[in-house]
Amino acid sequence: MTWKTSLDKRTGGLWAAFTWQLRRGLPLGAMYGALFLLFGFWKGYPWHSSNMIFLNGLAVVFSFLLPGWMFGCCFSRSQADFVHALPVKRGAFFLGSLGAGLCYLWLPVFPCLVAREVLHILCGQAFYPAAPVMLVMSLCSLAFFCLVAVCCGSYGEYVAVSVLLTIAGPLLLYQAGQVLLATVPAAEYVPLPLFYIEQMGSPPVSLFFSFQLQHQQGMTQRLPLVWSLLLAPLLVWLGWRRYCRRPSEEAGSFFRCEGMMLFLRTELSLLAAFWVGFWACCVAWDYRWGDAGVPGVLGFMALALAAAWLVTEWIGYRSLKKLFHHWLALAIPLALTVGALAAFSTGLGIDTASPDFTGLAGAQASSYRHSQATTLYYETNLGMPNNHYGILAPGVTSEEGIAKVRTLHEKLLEIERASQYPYLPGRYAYDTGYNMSYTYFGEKGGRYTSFYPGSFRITPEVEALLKEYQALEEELLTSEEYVESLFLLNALDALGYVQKWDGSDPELSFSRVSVEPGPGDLAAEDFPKGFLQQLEEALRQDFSSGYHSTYPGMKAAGKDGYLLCYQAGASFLAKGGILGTDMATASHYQFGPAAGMQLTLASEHYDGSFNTGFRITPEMPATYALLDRVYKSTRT
Amino acid sequence: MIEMTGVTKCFGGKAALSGVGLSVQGGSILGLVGPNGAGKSTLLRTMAGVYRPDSGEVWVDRARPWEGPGVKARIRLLPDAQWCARYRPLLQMGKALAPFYPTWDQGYFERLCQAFPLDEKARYITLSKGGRRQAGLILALASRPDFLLLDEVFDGLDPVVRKLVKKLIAEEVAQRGMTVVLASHNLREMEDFCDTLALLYQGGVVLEKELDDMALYLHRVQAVFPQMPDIGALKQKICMTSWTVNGSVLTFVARGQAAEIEAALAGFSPTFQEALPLSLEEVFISEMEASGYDMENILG
Repeated sequence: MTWKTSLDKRTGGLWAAFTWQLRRGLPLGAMYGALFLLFGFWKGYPWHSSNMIFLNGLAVVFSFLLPGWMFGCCFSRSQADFVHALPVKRGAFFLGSLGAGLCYLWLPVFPCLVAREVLHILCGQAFYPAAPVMLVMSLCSLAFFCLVAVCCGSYGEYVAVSVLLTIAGPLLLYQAGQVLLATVPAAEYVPLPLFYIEQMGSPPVSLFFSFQLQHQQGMTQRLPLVWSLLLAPLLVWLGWRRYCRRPSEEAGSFFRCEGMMLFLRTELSLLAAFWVGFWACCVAWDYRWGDAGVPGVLGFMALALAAAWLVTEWIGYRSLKKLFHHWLALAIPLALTVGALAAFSTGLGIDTASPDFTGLAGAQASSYRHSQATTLYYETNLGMPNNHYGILAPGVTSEEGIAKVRTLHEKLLEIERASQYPYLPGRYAYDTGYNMSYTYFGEKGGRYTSFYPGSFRITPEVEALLKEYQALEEELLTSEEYVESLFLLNALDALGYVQKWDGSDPELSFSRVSVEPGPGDLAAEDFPKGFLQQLEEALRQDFSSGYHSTYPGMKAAGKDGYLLCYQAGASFLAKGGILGTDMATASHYQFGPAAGMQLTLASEHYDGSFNTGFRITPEMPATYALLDRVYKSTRT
Repeated sequence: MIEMTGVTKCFGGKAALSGVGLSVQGGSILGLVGPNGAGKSTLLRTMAGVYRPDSGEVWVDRARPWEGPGVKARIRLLPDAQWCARYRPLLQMGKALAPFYPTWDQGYFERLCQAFPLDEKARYITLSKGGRRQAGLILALASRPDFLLLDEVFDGLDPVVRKLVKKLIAEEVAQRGMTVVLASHNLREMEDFCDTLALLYQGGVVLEKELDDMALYLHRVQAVFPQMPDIGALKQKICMTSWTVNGSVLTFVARGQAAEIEAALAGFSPTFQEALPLSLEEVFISEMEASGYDMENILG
C-alpha cells in the first residue's frame, strides 16, 4: 500500500480529491498565477502602494472563480452524480477542493511578495507583512466563496448570492455607522475605525482593501487581520458541515439552503432598515420634522424591514403562501435592529467624551454666533514651498479657561440628554440651530473636536438649561483671554488696510474673505497716529461686550460696513490663542500658548497670496464707529 | 449482495421511492423496468450512495453506501446523463480516476480502449452520444467494480457495440461474480440479458421475479363458455389481473402456472380453453394495468 492509498483510507479519499481538483483547476490556477506574477513584478514595488489593488483584485476574482469551478457538483446534477458516486467522503472532498484552491491562490504570493519584501528590508525600507496578510485574507475569501458555493444550487444563484453577500455586509455596516453618527451626539468626531469595521462585513472586500492596512498602525492595522484569522476557520467549518449534509438532489435548484436564505434575508433586511433609517434621518433634519422625527425615522425603518422581508420571500420562494412560516427571517433582523438601536441609544460612551487628556495645552468652544472666531495660519519657514505653516487657533490656554470650556461642554451634554434620551435616530429634527463645537488641544499633540448640531427639542427643562448655557458661554467668550485670542485682535499688527465694503455678494462676507487692495482703501501708511491702539481698544471693548459681526447683521447692514484687511506675509506679536507647531500634517501638531510670540501671517495658504479680510458691521458699535470716523475723515 | 428495505426518498414532498424493498443477489444481473418517473434512476443513485434515503436502509455487502468510501470504491454508477471533464481525452480521464479506485486495472483499461471503436485521444466534448456512453463504460469497467449500476446503458449504442458491452459485462459477471443492476425501458434488451427483473411503479416495486419464472408466471387465457359464468366466482378461483368478455368468449390474464389455471377453469365447464405465456412486454403492460396504470388512455 502506498502512502497515498494509506492516507486516502484514513482520510476518506482526501488526497485523491485534492489531486483530482488540483488537476481540474490547473487552467484557472495557471491563468491566475501568470496574471499575479505579471502584476506583482510590474511598476516597481506594487505591494507597498495602492498598486497592490491589482493583486488584491485578482485574488478576489479568483477566490470567487475557483469555488465555482471546483464545486460544479453543487450546480449540475450530472456532475453531482459523478462526484458523489466517487469513493470519497463528502467532508474529505470539501477539504481536498479547498486545499487545491488554496494552493492556486497561495503559490504565486511567495515568489512575488515574499522575495520583494526581503529586498525591501535589505534596502532598509519599512516592512509591511503583505504576504502573510494576503495569505490569511485570501484563505478567508476562498472559504467564504466555498461556503456560498455549497449553499447554492446553480451557477446563477452562486453569482447572485456571492455578489449580494459581498456588497451587502460592508454596506450594512456603513449604513449602521451612518445611523450611529446621526444619532449619538458627537459620534462623528470620535476616531472610530469605521472604514475598517465596514470592510469586515465581507471577506472579499476585506481582501480587496487590505493594501490600505500598510498605512495604518496598531489596532487599526491588526483588527481586520485578526478578524480574518478568526473568521477563516469558522467559514471553513461551516462550509465543511454544510457540504457533508448537503443532499445531492439540491444540484440544479434555487434557494434550497434554508440557513443561507435566512442569513441573506437577515442581512438584506437589516441593510434596508439602516439604509432607509439614515435617509430618513437626513430628511428629518433637512425638513425639520420636529416631534415627528423619531417616530418617523423608526417607522420608516420598520417599513423597510417588512418590505425587505416580503420582497425576499417573493424572490426566494416565488410565492407568499408560506410567508408566516418564515417568520424568523423577520424576527431576527427586527431583533438585531432593535438591539443595535438600543446599543446606540446608550451613546456607547462616546457622547460624553471630552477626551481624557492628561495634559491639555488649550481648549476652544466655537459658537455659531461668533463667526470671527477663526483659525489663523502663520509661516514657519519663509522661502520654503507651500504648506509650511502652523496654526494659531482662538481659544483659552489657562487652567481656568480650559475648565470653563469643559463646563460648557458638559452643560451641552446635559441639554442633549434633557432634550431626548435614550438617543434615537431622528432626534435631530428640530429647528433650534445651536451649532457648537468643542476642541481640545493636547500638549503632546492630538486634537479632539466634538460637534453638536444643537437641534434640541425645547422643553421647560431644556429651556432652563439653555439659559444657563448661554450665561456660561457669554462668560467664556467675553473673557479677556478668549478675546485676545481672536484673529482680529491677535494679529492686529499685521493689519494692512481698511476697505469700505462695496456690498458685493454678502454670502462671502460671513467670516473672512480674501481681498485685494483697491484705490479707495485706507492703507497702513495712511493710518492716523494712534489708530492701531484705538482700534485695539475698540475691538477689545466690542468683543468683551459679546459684540461680533453676524450673518443676519451683515445682511441687514447691506453696504454699510468696513473690511479689516490683514496683510499676508506681515508679522505680528501674538496676544493669545493656541499655537500649533511642526506641521507636516495636522496629526503631528504640537500645541502650546502663543502669547508673546512673533509670527508671520501665512502668505500662500489661501489659493495664492490673498490677504484676509473681516467685515465690521454696526453690530460692533465701538469698532464700527472708529472705522467710520477715521475712514470718512481721511476721505474728506 | 444489495439489499434495500423500506427505502423512501422524497423530492419536494413527492415520493420518488416509497418503501422500496429489493434484494439483488451477488453475481446476478437485475433489470429495473418501469414507466417514466417510476423511480428507477433514483433507486440506482440511492444504491450508489449518491442519495441518502429519507427512511429505510440500503446495504451493499453489509455496508451503507452513503458516506461509505470503502464500499463505494467497489460500486460504479453510470447514470443516464453522465458527466466527464469536457476537454479531457479518455486516457487522461482514466489517469484522473485511477487514484480513487484501488482496484483500477490499467491493463484492462487499455484493452478496453482497443476493444471499443473509440479514439481514446479525442476530447470528451468531441465524442458522439454513443462515444460518450462507451467512454463511460470503459471507465466504469476498468475500475473492476463488484457492483455495476447502469442507467439506460444501451441508449445510443449501435448493435455491434451493444453486443460487445453485453459480452464484457457477462464475462465480468461470470469470472468475478460482478453484480449488475440495469435500468432500462428496452424490455427486449432485458429479456436475453437479465437474471431477474423488477418492475417499479410510482416509487414502489410492483413485481420482482427471476426471468425464467416471469415467463411462466403470467398467462393469457382464452375460454369459450356455452353460458358465461359469473366473473366474481371465477376470480375466487383464479388470480385474474384483467379480462374481457366478447359474447361467449372470455379472454383474461391470470397469475400462476398454466396447469393450475386450466384446472381451476375446468370447474366452470368451458367448451374451449387455451393458456399461453405472456411476452416480457405483455407482462410489463399487464402488471402496469393491474397497478392502475391507465394504458388505454395513454395509448388513445
